[in-house]
Order: sequence, then C-alpha cells, then structure tokens
Amino acid sequence: MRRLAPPWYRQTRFYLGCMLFLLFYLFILLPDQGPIDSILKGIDVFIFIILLISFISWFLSDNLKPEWIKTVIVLIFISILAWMFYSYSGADWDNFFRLFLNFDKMKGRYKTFLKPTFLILKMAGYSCIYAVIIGAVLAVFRSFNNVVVNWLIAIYITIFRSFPAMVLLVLIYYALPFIGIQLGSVQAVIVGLSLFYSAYTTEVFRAGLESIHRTQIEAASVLGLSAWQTMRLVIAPQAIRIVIPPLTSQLIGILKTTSISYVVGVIDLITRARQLQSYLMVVTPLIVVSLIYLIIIVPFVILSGYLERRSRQWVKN
Amino acid sequence: MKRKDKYRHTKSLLPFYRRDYFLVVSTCVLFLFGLLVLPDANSEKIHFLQLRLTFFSVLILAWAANILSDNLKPIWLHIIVTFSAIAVFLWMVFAYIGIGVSDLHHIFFNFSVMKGQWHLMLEGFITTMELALISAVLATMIGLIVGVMRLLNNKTLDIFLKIYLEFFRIMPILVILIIVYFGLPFLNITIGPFASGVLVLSLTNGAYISEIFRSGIASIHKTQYEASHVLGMSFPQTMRLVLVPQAFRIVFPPLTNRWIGILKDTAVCSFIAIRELLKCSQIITTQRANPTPLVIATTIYLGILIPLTIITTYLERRYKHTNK
Amino acid sequence: MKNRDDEIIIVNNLHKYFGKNHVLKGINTKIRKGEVVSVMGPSGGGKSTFLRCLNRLEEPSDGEIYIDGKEITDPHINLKKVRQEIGMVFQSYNLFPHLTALQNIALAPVNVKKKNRKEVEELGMQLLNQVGVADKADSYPDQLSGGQQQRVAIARALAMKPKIMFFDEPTSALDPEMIREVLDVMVDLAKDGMTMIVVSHEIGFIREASSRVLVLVDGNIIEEGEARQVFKAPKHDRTKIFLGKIL
Repeated sequence: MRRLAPPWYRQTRFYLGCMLFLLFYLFILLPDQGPIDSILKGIDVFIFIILLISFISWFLSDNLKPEWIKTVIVLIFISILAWMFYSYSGADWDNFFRLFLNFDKMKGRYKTFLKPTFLILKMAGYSCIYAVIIGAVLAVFRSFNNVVVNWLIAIYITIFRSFPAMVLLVLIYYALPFIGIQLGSVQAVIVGLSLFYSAYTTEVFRAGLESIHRTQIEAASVLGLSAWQTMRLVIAPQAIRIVIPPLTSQLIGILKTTSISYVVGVIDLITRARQLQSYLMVVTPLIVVSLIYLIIIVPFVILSGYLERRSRQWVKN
Repeated sequence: MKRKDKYRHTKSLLPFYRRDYFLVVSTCVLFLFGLLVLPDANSEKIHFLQLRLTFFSVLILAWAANILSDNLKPIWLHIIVTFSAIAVFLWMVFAYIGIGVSDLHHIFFNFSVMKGQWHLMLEGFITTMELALISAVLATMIGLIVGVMRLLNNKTLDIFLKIYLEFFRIMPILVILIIVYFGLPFLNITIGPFASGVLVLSLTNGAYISEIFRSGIASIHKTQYEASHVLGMSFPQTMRLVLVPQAFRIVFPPLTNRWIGILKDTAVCSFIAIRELLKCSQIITTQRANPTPLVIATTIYLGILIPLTIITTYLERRYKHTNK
Repeated sequence: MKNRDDEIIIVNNLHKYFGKNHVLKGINTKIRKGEVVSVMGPSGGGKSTFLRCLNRLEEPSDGEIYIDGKEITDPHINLKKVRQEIGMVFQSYNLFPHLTALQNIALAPVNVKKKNRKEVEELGMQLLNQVGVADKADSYPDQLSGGQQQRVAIARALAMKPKIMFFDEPTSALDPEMIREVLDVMVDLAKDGMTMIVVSHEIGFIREASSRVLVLVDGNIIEEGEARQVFKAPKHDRTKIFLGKIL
C-alpha cells in the first residue's frame, strides 16, 4: 500500500525551508546584543518571536512526525528564547549570582523570617475561620427562602465580590480611624480578608447545599426526620464533603492575599525582605521570601488538587 | 384566606418555638437582655465590650432565624423582623463608636476637601484604566498563545509551560511586583513603574487565562472534531463553524471574570508608585487629613466593578444552561 | 371526622394547581386498612402528584386529606409524627450515600423514635433478610445494584413500622432483570396485610396483588374498581383507550 503524500505544507522540505529562513533571520536580521532602545529593534525582535512560535506550533501539531524530533525542536526553541532574553534585556548578567542569589550574605539572617511567617499563617487562619463562619451563617439564612433576606445577602455578596482587596484594606485601616475605629494593622487585615472572602464562601456553601439533591431531603422528611435532624444527619455530612475542595482553594487565595498586609504596615515577610535588602544591598532576601511563599502555598495546592480529584470521583458515584 | 380561619383551633399543635406567645415572649426577653447586657454608651469604662456585643448579636441572629424560618408567619412580620434586626445592628454600630449620622457627612463625604484636586483623581482614574486595558489585552494574547501551545501535546513543552503557569499562579502578585520593581534595577534592568505594572499583570493573568483557554478548548476538542471530520468538513471549516463558536461560548464567562480580576489587581500596583486611582486618592487623603478621597475612589471602583460583576454572573448562569 | 372505622385514608375534593396548570381536579376516595390500591394512568395525569399530596410532599391547593383520622392538610399539624406512620419508596431510591445499607435503615428509628441502637440494628438485619439483601448490610449504596438499593429503601421505610406504604413508580428506574426481585418483596408485603398505595406501570403486579385499581387521567379518577374488572370490562371509554395502549 502506497502511503499518501502529505500536502506541501506538511512535508519535510517545507519544514527545513522554514528552519533555514529562521536561522537566517536569527543570525543576520536580528539586532545586535544590548537593550532594546528603539521601537524598530523592538518590532524586529517581536516579529521574530511570532514567526518562531508559529513555526513551532505548526510543527508540533503535525501528528505524523515522531516525538523525539519534536522534543529536540522544543529544546532548541527554549534555548533560543533564553538566549534572546539574555542578550536583549540589557542586564548585567555577570553580577546575577552576586546580586540575586547571594546566599553568603544571608547567613545567620534566616531567623528574622520566622516570626513574620507565623504571623502570615495566623492572619490567614483567622481570616479563613471568620470567612467560613460568616459564609455558613449567611447560607443558613439564605435557606429560609425569605425574599427580603435573600436580596440583602445578594447585595452583600455583590458588593464584596466587586471590591478590590487592596481598596477594602486601605479603607479599613486608613479611613475608619476617622470615626474612631482604630484597628491595629493585623486586625485590619483579618477583618478585611474575612469580609472579602466571606462573599466567596457564601457562594461555596450555597452551591454545596444546592448540589444535594432535593430527593435526599424528601426521603429524610418522609422518614419523619425534622428539619434540624435532616440538616444534621443527612445534609451536613454530604455538604461538608462537597464544600471542602473549593474552601481549600479559597484558603490558598487567602494565603496569597495576606501578602497585601505589607501595605498597611504589618511586619510581614515583605517588610523584612525590604529591610534586609536595603541593608545588605542585594536582592536575595526577596528571593528567599518568594521561596518561603512557595513552601507555604505549594502543600495547599497539592492538597487542593488531590481533594478535587477525590470529590470528582465521589460525585460520579 | 379561608384556610387560615379553618385551622385556628389547631394552632395548639405547633411546637413551642413556633407559637405566637413565644414570638412575643422572645422579643421581650431580647429587649430585656439588651438593657441588661449592653452597657450605657456614654460610660467611660466598659468591661468586655466586644464580648457583650458579640453575644447580643448572636442572640439577635437566633431570634431572627427562628422567626424567619417559619413559613406560617405572615410576610409583613418577616419584613419587620429583618429590618428591625438591621436597625438594631446599625444602632449598635453608631452608639458604640460615638459619632452621629450627621458626622458621617463631613467626615466621609466632605467634597470641599477635594477642591482643586479633582484633576489628580482624574489622572489616577485614567492611569488605572490604561493599566487595566493594556494588561488585559497582553494577558489575553499571552494566554491564547500559551493555552494553544499546551494543547499541542508535547510533553517537554508542556513541562516548561506548566512551570511558568504554576509559578505565576502560586506567587502573590505583590511579591512579584516588588521583585520586578525593586530587584531588577540591581541588574541594571530599569523598567518604569507603569511598564513593570503592565509586565507583572500581563504575565500573572496570562497564566490564568492560558488555563482558561486550554481547558475551554480541550473540553470540546475530540468528539466535535471527529463528527465534523466524518461529515467531510475541512479543517478551516471545522474551526470556523464548529470549534471556535463553541470555544468562544465556553471561554467567555471565565475570561470576562479574569478581566474584572485584572481591574481589581491594578489596585495592588498602587504600591509601586504608579499614580493610579487608589494611590492618588491616598495622596489627597494624607494631604488633607480627610478620608473623603478614599471614599470617592471606592465609589468609582464599585461603580464600575459592581455592574461588571452583575453582568458576568448573569453570563455565567446563561452559559451554564446552554452548554449542557 | 371518620366515616368508617377502618378507613385509614380519606381524600375529599383534592385539587392541586402548579401555577395555572390544574393537575388534580377534585379527587375523592377512601382507602381501607389492608387494601392494596394501584394507581394507573398516562404520564402527566397526576398519579405521582396525587401520591405526593397524600403525605404533603406537595402542598394541596384545596381539599382535605385524613390519614388515620388526623387531618393532615391542617397547617399546624405535626407532620413529622404523621409521616412516621407512612412509609414511602421513591422511583430513584434516594438512599443516603454517606451511610451503609444498615445505617440507612437505622437512621430514622434511632433519631426520630429514639430507639435503642442495638434493637434497631437487629430489626434492620431482620428487614434486610426479609427483602433479601442481608449480605450487603455494610455496603454503601454506590456498591449496590439498582434492585438491591430499592430493596434497601423498602427496608428503610419498613423500619419505622408504618401503617401505610406508598410506592411512587418503584420499578421505573430499574433494569428489567431487577424488577422481579423488587416486585416479589412488594407482593409479600401485600400478603402480610400492609395497606399499600402503588403508582406503577407494572401490569403483572397490579393484576396479581392489588385489591383495587384507580385510573387517573387528566386529574380525575375516571375508573375505580377491582383489578380484574377494570382490565376485562372497563366502564369508561377513556380507560379503554389507555388500556389499549398498554396491554
């Protein structure tokens, strides 16, 4: 059986031709090394990147070419991009290690990060608990199916979902003192985050409650269970399972948003990093702080992914 | 209406917390509790103020919940209960802070403070809009490219892109902003504040948007493509008539949600000296020692974001139904 | 208000509206203790609505319903107590997914009737035996077949020792192989003298076990009588048309 020849835009000759053209561009048409200071240079580089990406995408979408060639092309592609970043950012790359990853200078200073880390965890924890409590209470009031109450709750949710977290925090910390409510910076953060995320948790609880089939409630009431018993024995156990994965991702959001506490003066990780940075004249403290954030948040991300997969299995049943 | 009169005699069958006398009794008890527990607003030393207030609030919530969960009580009673509960809460707020409603006017809504500063607010507003629009466009472009590239099913490429994705999804925006703005100058990469803001916002949101595009397109990919293939449609036709319309519908709600998120994120950029709305209002606030500018900025933010949020919620609901 | 002592369900002029839709147009019937009443009719005729009104899963728009002498259409009545006397089996079994079969059965007696847990579990095992799934006592609903789940649902309803059992299309969601096992359980229940109201399409069961058949079409009971008589010699034309389609 003769194999049908692929169309011209899928033949090896075509690919080789494109690659030659790109090489030509790479070595001859691209501007010299150094920062991009003119618009012409910028467009030059930009067009090259677009062509490069288009070619790579086109090549990779060809199902007939073997995987190993594709992997090689990808690696070459990445190295070209890296090289371009290196040469066109105008950066002082020789000093990179000395300035960015200078761990010698950080020796013995790691202890200062301990307290702020616990502070961040504490703030996130309290905010999460308050947000969940508010969300649960509002969800319960919502289940009364009272038109007035539902409207009020809807207004509350709409307002706090539309609020930028930063604006809310600034408002609480800087504006409230004018009417005599003087909250400490940590307290302001906790109050702000609780209010902000309570809008989301209410939605999560409402979706959780609604996803429990009406027929479960009917079955329970037909057995003679009172409303309270139904809630306690039938709805709550199921709802908690449904509600925990989205709550975990809310918790991740809270952890990330606590970084904003820097702005209201909380002595948190970023504050310490900036202090050290101006004292030591290196950027490493900031890098360390980002690593700390990674270490704090990644376990929760993994947990959240695991929970989501498990709940999907559970729902299927 | 006939039904109510017919069943008057059986009202005694209800459990105690649903009966009319309990309504009256519980309201009186609540009132007495209020007098006992809540201290005099003007006295100097108040022990455990927050505890008392919380306790009383919980009582009010329980009382309201009991009445509002009862479907047999008339609607006007529900309305009265709701509004009186809110009124009591508001009264507690005002009484224990020590200011009057009239004070609110010239603390928070004092427009004389803004004299001569309106142009600053306008500048801030325009900067915010520019920041949001440019970042949104760039982020969508980056998201589209990265999303499509992830669909190409090459494992190596996928790994690199995933690293980019996860990094920007995990890192808080403020941290990245500060590294870019304060850290990069050490390497002689000086990007102005506005550009740094655009850069960070685009990269971060580009990561989220790429995930939106990827999962959106992937969720329709196989069967639809096969179906149109079997019908004899060419690739461009399939794209145009089948895949793109569906992808657009799936992707549109979360995408608009993200765009709103970008607008909200611009507020974070106030910290790196971009003169956007929040920053400008903060400047005026500290200058004139009055929080009115902040309130005005908040109103502007809410004024734009609330309608947008309502529209996206509406869109979400509509597209949820169409897609099943 | 009782007409005769053994009339356990009395329905007077029951009307039900869903919005503008007049689904039940004045149902009147009396059901005696020990009767097995089958309700038949085309879809949308109001069969399920009728059954669900009888224990107020749907709120009647007008009329009165008396169960064992108590008027359940009274808004002040303790519905919880009344419902303990009526067991209900649904089309979609409605087992609680987070509990095992035995726990499903034990839930209501322990929490509503406040019975001793050990006694209840013994009773539960007896019932599971009776319906034929005793070996699955510790399995979760998602590990059971449809027929097994439905039988557990029947056992769960029986655990409350009801006086009346309602069945709302109990076999409609089952694969054909499993219908027989559920119907056998229902036939045994009927033989033991349980008062049953069954909404179903299973002609075999209706002919074999019912003492009375109600034909509900367009919200009205157009035919009522012994199964044999209704099938062989229906009085109403509409019944003839309906039977012609299904027999």
